[in-house]
Amino acid sequence: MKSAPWIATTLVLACLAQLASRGANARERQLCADLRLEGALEPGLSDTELRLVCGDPKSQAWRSIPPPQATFHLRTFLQNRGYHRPEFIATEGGGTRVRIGTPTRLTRVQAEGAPAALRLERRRGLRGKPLTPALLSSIEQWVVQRLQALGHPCPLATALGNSDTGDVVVQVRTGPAPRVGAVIEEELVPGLLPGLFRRYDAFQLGESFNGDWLAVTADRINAQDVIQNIHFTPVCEPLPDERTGVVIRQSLTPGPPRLLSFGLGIDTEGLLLARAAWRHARLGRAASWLNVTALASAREQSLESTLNWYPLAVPSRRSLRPSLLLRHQNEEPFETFEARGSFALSTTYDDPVLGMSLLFGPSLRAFRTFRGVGPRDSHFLFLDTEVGVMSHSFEYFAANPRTGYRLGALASVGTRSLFSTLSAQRAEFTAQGLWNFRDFDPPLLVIGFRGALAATFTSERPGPSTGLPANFFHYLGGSSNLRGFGRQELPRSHLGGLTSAFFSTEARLGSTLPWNLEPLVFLDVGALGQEPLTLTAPIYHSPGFGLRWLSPVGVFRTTLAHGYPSNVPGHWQFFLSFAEEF
Amino acid sequence: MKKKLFMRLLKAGFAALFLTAAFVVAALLVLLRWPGLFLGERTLPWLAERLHGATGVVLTWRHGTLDVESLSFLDKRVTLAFTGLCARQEAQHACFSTASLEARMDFSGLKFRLVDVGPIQLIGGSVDVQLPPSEAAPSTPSPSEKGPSIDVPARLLNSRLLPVLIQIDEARVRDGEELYRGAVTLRVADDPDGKPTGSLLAEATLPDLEQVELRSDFRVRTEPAPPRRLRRDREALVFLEHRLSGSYSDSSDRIRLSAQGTAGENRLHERMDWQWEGLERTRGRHPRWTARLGGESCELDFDSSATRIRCPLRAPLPVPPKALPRGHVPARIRGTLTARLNPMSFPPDLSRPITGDAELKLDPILTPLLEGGGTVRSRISGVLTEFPRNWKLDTTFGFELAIPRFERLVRQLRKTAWAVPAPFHVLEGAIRLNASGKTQVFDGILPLSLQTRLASSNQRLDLDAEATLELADLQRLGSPPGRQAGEAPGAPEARLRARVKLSEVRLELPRLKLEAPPPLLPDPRIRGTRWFEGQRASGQKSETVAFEYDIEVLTPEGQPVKLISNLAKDPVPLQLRLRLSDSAPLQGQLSVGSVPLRVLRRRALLESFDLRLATPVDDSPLSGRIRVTYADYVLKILLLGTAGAPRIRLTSDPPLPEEQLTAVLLFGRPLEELDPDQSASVADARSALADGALNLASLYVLASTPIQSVGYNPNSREFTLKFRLGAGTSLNIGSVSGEYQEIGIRKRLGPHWTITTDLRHRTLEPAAADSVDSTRGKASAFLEWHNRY
Repeated sequence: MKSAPWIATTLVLACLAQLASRGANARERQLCADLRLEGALEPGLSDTELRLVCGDPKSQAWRSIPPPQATFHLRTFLQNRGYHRPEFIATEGGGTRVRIGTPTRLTRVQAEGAPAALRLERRRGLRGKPLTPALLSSIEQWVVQRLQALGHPCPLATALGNSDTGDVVVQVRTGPAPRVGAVIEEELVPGLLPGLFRRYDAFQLGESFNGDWLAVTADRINAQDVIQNIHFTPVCEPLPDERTGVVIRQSLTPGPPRLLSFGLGIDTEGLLLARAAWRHARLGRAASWLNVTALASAREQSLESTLNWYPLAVPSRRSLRPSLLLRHQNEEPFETFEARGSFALSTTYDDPVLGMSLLFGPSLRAFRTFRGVGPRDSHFLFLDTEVGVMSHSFEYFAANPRTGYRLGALASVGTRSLFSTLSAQRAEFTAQGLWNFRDFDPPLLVIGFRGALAATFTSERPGPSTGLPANFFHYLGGSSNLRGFGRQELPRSHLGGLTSAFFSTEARLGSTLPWNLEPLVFLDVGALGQEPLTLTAPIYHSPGFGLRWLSPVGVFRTTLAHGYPSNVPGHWQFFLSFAEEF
Repeated sequence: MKKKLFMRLLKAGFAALFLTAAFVVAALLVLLRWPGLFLGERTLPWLAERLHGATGVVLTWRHGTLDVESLSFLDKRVTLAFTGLCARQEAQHACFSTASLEARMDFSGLKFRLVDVGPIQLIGGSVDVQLPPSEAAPSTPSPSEKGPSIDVPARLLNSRLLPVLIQIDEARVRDGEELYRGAVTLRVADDPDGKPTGSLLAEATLPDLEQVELRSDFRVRTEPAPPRRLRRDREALVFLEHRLSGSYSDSSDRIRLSAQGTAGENRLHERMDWQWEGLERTRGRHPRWTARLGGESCELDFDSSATRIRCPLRAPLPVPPKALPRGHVPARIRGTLTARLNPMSFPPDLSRPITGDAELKLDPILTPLLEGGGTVRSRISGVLTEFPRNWKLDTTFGFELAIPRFERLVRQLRKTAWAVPAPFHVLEGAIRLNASGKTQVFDGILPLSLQTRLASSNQRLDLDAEATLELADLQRLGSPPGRQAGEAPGAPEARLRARVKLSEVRLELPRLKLEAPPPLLPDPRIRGTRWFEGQRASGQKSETVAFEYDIEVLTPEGQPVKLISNLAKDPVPLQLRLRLSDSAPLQGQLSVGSVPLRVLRRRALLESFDLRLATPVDDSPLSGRIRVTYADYVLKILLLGTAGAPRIRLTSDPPLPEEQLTAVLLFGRPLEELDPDQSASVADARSALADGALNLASLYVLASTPIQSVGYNPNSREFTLKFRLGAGTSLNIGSVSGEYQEIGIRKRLGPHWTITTDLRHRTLEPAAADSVDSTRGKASAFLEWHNRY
């Protein structure tokens, strides 16, 4: 997709529709026989509200509503919509004309009794909104949630709004800020070890409480499909004691252990995917899991089976992970078939700020090259090491990224002397950081950086006669690195490189445009090298811009960028992706 | 010899007597002719000493003269003039800057007659008076006391009174610790008929800025006395005709009084008008209206046999709503006070007890809206100076006020701010308020009763209330001085204790749809600027409570309030016992009795539901039990937790796992037969219920509707409920604002269908040694059918 004039057309039409609907609402309405409403009331009165204002012909006791009571009810309903200064004008015929006026809009929010770290001023999107009870409740909810993230498990917040000025004062009682004392497991999953789910904890017993980390923990467990549902809540009755700490209640619904799914999807490269998966999430008392996934797209078909086995008889983060993968890849530069068997030791670790993961073990890989560089058949025995570091905040905002960092390192070591066709070692370092400018919520400006350095160490060199399979080489281009080029478009020779590096920076304007549209600008820079750990000219760069839309079903992103340098034939590159984030 | 000597002595005696008489006569003649030779300035100390000896009054002066002018041989004018004249007797002390007193005396016929008294001028007075401490008074009045009479010495009756002016610029009267200040001017002179006429003007400032003003004009009238009553020193009956006007005011009360009457010869008759106003003021946030009570042409007769009072009273009522036609509500209450007090002395000895009877009879109230009337009878005993302390007013009273036709009141108030709200406005019948019984007035306790007998075609409101109203003003009046002083500032002015029995109440609730119920009351969190300023002000000073109440509302055993609702097939029986108090939040308990229900499309029985009210109401603990009978087991739904965060626990007989019960309850099928979306709903519903994330209203909707899905985000405590409305439409309710972070990666679309985002690179889980290639980091999303089994 080289251009998208339809996007602009769609946006313009949507704006016009919105304006037209607003115009249509600005009218008078005869509510009841003797009550006329002047002004655009949004949303309109519900049936129940109308009955309480105008009477209910089906009810003897409520058939007619005395005018002062109808006025009282209507005032209440208008208040519920932010109209605090309605005028009730008696008409000559004995009726009443209600001029609803304009809604009072929030002008200022301040907190009383809150710690300085709350920084209520960073809460965006409030000013200018109609002052309604729902808005006050949402402010209270936000304050409570943020105070829980600041270490207060049981805060109370009451927002008071001034209907004349639009000022809002939030009266806060933070409550104590104890450490995490214990976790109460309300229910045990039959057949599983008690305390099993502590291996997913992002929070730490004995450390400061943070409500967000409870959510991260629950989401880790839910994402693994170990059980149907789990969540954690601090126990606030009685209020936690500073000495004994706050007790966290764990509630869960186990659900059946097996999950079967079939799906059609799309990946960030714009490819249509089909996937079938079967998973048993609770094998044994330690809840080991077995996963079998078949995936098919026009460019890749794979069948993967992984067993994650917790061998210890006590709850532990350490597991053994044997895996089998069969994969056919039909990319533009190459077509290969890969068979891989691996056996790894896996573990994780969390501290109050970040989590780490480690995976270490051998893998045996066999390749058949149908097209592209490399020998027809080859095999390798690698010792793989993968280390990941991720801040809890990065994980917390995984579905809507705004802050945090992630580091990753991968290394695969293989030698010709140990069941390998060639000696080859591969390494990759990735890093990503997101910065929420002034920590606004929702963010005003999210600035992100990401980069990777990958290299293959071998005596082979890219070329038609190389002994390495094509997917040992490195390519650039695509929505995940250089967005001004097509997927794996670089190098132009399609021979790949032994080294690749890229660095991207992106600035996204958040929650400023209507309909959750967020514009973004970016610059990607990258280079490839034909030698291990050597980068050669040209240095590719691709400035561009795009739009992110947080739709009800997920995130859509479009980007338009131009690939440079100019001595390489460049072009405009358009990407439309779903579920991809920077 | 002896005889001769006797004769000589006799002669000598006569001669001496004669000479003495001649000397005395001569001296008298000289005194009468030239009195100044004997009476003068030098005589004043001697006179003062005589006065001191006779009365104990010590007179001093800076300069004084005594001048006797001889108008004729037997007609003399005596003039006393002083500067700096002071008189002192014990603690009492009076000084005048100038004083002059004149009198004219006639000795003709060798009979002393006071021809003129005056002019008398006492100017620039300064008086200090110390009142003696009150002593215990005899318990009964002396039967020999007479009524009011003015005894004037006979020699004064024929005297002419020349102008008298007494001007006291500053009078200080001490009564214990209290100091009263004031000024008095008295002018008296004979009118052309020779009758003394005068005026008295007195102003006083009392402690606590109370002010008293008294103006009086008086005239002395004399009548020839009946012969049998003549005494040596009296030749006429003297009456003091007077006209009085006065006022009293302090920070809370104002009294105006005007009277005219006659006092004399054992009788006092007064005819007076008076008015009392309790000034409008604000205590705390409770504004008060101006209470007024007045008497017109009150008659007071005092004589030696009794004191009689007859006083027509009127008390204006607050201004009724303008929309009410004139005459529908009385503008004032009228009545007549009559009293007969047993004999008293005159002037009354205020320290002696009085006894008597009084009756207040209210004129009947008869308007199209109100009917009423009443009588109060009291037996009085007490000491006037101690009023109202230690007074006994044994009172029997009976008042009734009725609204005989409630529907008329509804009609009249319909367009006013006092309109009777739905659903009560369709009721018809009567309301009666009674106050009757025996009481001690200064106990300040008024027993009341209220009865309503109201009904419409499907509603009924029968209340029977008993109450006591304690009026602190009366209690304060009757309590000892020490207790008054020790009373806390801002103490309530009235206390109402009531017990309201809901004898038979059946009310229809508004028809609700299956959606979030509309707010029935304004959100108290949204206020105007004035309220915020008031809050700031009240934070600086403590608020006083003008009215205390403690009201218990209860339903009799076996007679619950019945609420008719379109959401319940049968009326919901509500047993309640509530306590409303000014000093504590609403307390009590609400219980719903056994009632058949439809819960999640099944017939069920609500066995019990109790809500024990707490503050805030959301914190009120609740307990309830619902029984749902299935073919092969009985499901029991236990409601626990609080009103704001109710929790549900499911049990069954025989026992089944709770998630199975939730599945059956929500979807009518066992867990194994549910699709994953429904299973997830079961899980979310269990979490939300266990978490107390649903309030009672949401629970009711949950129990009353065909559920499509339930969603719950424990992090933000957001709850969504999607239910079918039929014909393929559905409705979402819940607390989701759409502004909070959701870190979930699966979005439900419907049964078995989700959109799943693969975000492996954004979670901590190791990537299973994925291939190290340049496609690492890509994300994917699937429209997925899934099934958990």
